[in-house]
Amino acid sequence: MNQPLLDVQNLSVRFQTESAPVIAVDNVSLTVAQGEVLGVVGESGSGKSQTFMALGGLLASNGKATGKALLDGENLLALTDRQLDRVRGQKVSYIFQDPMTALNPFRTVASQMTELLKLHQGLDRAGARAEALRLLERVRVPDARRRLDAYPHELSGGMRQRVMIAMALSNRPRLLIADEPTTALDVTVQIQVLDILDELRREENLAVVLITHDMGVVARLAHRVIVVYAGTIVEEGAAEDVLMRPTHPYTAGLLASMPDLAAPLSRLQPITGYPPDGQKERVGCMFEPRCRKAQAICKQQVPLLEARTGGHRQACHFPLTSDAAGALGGLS
Amino acid sequence: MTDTARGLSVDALSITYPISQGLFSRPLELKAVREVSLSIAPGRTLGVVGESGCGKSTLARGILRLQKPNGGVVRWNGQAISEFSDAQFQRVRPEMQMVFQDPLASLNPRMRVADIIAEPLVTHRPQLGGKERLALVEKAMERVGLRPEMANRFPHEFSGGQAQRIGIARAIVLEPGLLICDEAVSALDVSIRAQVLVLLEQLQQELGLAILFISHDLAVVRYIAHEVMVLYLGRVVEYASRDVLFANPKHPYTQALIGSVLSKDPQIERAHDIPDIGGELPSPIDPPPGCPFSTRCPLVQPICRQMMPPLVTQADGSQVACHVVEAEKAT
Repeated sequence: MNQPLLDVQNLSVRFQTESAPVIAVDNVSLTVAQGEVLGVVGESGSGKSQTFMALGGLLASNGKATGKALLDGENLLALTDRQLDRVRGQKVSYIFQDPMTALNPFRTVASQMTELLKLHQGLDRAGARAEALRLLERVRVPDARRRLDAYPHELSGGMRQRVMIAMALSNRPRLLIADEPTTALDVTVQIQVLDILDELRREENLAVVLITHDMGVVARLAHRVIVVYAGTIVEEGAAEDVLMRPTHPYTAGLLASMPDLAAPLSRLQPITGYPPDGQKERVGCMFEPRCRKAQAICKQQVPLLEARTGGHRQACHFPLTSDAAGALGGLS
Repeated sequence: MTDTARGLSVDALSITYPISQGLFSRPLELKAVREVSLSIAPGRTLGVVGESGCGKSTLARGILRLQKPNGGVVRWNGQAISEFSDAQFQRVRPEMQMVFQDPLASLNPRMRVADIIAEPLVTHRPQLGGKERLALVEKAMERVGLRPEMANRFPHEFSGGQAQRIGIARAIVLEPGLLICDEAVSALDVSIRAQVLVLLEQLQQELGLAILFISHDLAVVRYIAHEVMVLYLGRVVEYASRDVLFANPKHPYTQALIGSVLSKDPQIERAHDIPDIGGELPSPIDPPPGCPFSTRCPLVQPICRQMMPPLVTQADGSQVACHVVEAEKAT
């Protein structure tokens, strides 16, 4: 693979609170190449979103990011707000879960889209409207000409998310960060929206970060996967390896917690306990209290993200071997 | 599906919402649930699936009389409770409890956990003394896996998964016969969702619960349900045992729903084609004439746009409402 478009090195994010600081992201390093979909899997509070909010300078005001995030060699974390505006306007776009809260309910689709196009691409009114129409057709909004003049509430959830994607494309980004883009959508619509994202990725050579809790979404789109737990990457590798031959007990546990229509019906094997909160002291493996394979060393020593088995990387002192786990069968 | 004396049975339930069009025009009607029949025996789970707006939640509200039905009969243990007076209904209401989607939003933030769980007892069994009440609360907490020392905490001190356990404890403290779960695990994280599903299975065995499990997640429904009902625009399009429905879905909508579910196996996903249904759910205020699915159905025939297909029992015991399925049997 060529030079990665995004190269994140030792990123940490902490939030100052009235009591102790909360560490949301702890020393995360990752890369995304052009034309690649990186799946980022984790549960709420794992830090999967904050990692990528930090890149765009979108952390809440009490949040602080340290480390490096190189986009095309430029460290986003060292930029001034003004410089960051330029990057967000030209290279990076975000799509979020709930399109209704991201769209202005008082303005038509056309008015919101042309505002961006005039700003980012310097188009005049007619040019911006033509481009908005082209973008809506690009994301296969049926009857796009009519929908340009619709208000957000007149569109279904799936249509709104397509409008959001079209808007995200208006600055011709090279990196698209999609945070739970289909979670609020019905199943029949989810698969359509995912395939539009994949088509754009292919045709525009976009780098896509797909943040989700849904292994099915990852399986459909992602080339590579990172699994995030309590602010750290616990497993990283090709989608096929991580999903079919998970080596970290947390990844295996997540997969065994998810029933799959394509597999024979088997009992779910939930992970016991609950994830730690961000104020927990960080010693040893953060998953240790919930881990069935934990031993003494796990309480004391942080496992590094290294390739120990299975041809990919895991942060675990006692990784599972390939025959012990599998996506469809779960842990037996 | 047969009319059992024990458990829940619903016969041709219809629920319509009036849509106000302003002061001087006649209100329109939104037919949210149209002639839905179902039955759930004790110890069994009926999964209700369909997309947003299909009437799943309204159906639950109608059964519990949170929304007044316009027609049909709801029977609980053989009694037609939909015909009851409000006072009579209050007496059977404790036997039917509900668990909601958003656990934190459904718990009063100013009440301690023990008081939240005790509230149904205060309402429905006011004769209980403090000690007896506490004993029942502690028993419910134990059943859902909450530790006794959590009794004096407030909801915000709990994660979503623990909060949902509180919601379930509140629902089972009266030892109901029917539990209605409306997207009860949808807002939970994957690992916590599995815990709650396993908990529901355990509680069903312990208490002999009949469960109405409403969900948009077909994989979860296949896991938890014994029977499955598929709703589209307020109508039952297919109703079958779990194994029959997932092995051999017959209605084109059921096939599309199942065909849209993603697998966590990347190899399967690479070969997975999008089901051929265009567009989105039509407006329930102005539903298409004939079959409600006719506007999106890949197999649509002229008759589908004219006549609503009746729900017909098939050779394998499933019920399907589809002209094309019937026509294929005839040839």
